[in-house]
Amino acid sequence: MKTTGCPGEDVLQMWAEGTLEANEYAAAAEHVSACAACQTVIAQYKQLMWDLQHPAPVPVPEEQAELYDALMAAWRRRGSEEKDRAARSGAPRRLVPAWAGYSVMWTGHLPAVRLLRHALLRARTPERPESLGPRETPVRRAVRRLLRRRGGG
Amino acid sequence: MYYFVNTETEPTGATRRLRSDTYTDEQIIRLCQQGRQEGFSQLLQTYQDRVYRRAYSFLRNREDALDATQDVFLRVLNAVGHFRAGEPIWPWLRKITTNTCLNKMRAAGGRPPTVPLEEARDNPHPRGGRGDPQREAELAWDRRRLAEALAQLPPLQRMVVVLRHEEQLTYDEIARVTRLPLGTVKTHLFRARQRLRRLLHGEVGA
Repeated sequence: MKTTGCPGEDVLQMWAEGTLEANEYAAAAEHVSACAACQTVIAQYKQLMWDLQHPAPVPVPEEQAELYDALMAAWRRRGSEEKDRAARSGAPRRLVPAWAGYSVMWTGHLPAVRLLRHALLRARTPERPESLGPRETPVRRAVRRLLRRRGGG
Repeated sequence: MYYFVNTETEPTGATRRLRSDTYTDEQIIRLCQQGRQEGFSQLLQTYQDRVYRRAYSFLRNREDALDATQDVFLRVLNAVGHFRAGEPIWPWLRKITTNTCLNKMRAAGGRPPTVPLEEARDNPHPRGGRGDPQREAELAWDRRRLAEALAQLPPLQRMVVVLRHEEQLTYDEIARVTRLPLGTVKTHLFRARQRLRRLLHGEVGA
């Protein structure tokens, strides 16, 4: 029989569970050690928690085998649907993801990359023979055409 | 590396599953993500019974638990591509199972639970008693009473008790899995255990 000085049942539950805070434990300890009713409740909760932790094993029904087959069929169906979808779309498989291509493209604007590209182009271009005279640039070509039209060229 | 599916076809046409514990969780997930059938087969072989048992402990009904198991793996089938390989599978499956069962409980509303308890009679108690028929009978009786008491709890209280004591989750983890506030979890747990104690020990007010 619980008395008026007994701690609440929530405290006794947590005591049995071992989750009581240190100060709550200290506050209840003196009373519990002297109270048979509280000790009985704690013992019952400990027994209950032990039993809950060790439930009777649930037998597996026979339908589990059929469910396994049904789920495997669902997996195969899903796989074939995905293949069909890919075949219908007809899109070629990308070798390089789009973001990788774009990021490579944007590097062309970096000054270091531009200088390197110019240097490579210059190295690849064969030397112009001196006999051909200076290289005709677009500006020079435009001036030459203008002079020719005026009859001075 | 090649993996072989351990299956046999029985005369009934149903495929009998054989146990093989050679796959790690990571291998199972990687095979599934590659679209390999043996990955999903292994996932089912390893976890199908466990999911059923957990669903049964929440719902206390064989048919509902089978339905829930099917729903869980159909959800897994669509979501396995997003699962991070290397993480343990069971917490993920437990979360899906809990959510699926919560949805079922909400859909069922106030339907009274059914209590098939035949299994509790024939199982020996883990505390021992093997070889002592009287003790075994007492333990089986205790278990049966506990199962009956659990079946009388409101579904949400039962779920919280199972997650706390069978799954050994902390209060915070239970709140996360069930998406309930921590205070609500504590209240459900307190009331459930209080009611169970009163039911089992015959205190007035049960």
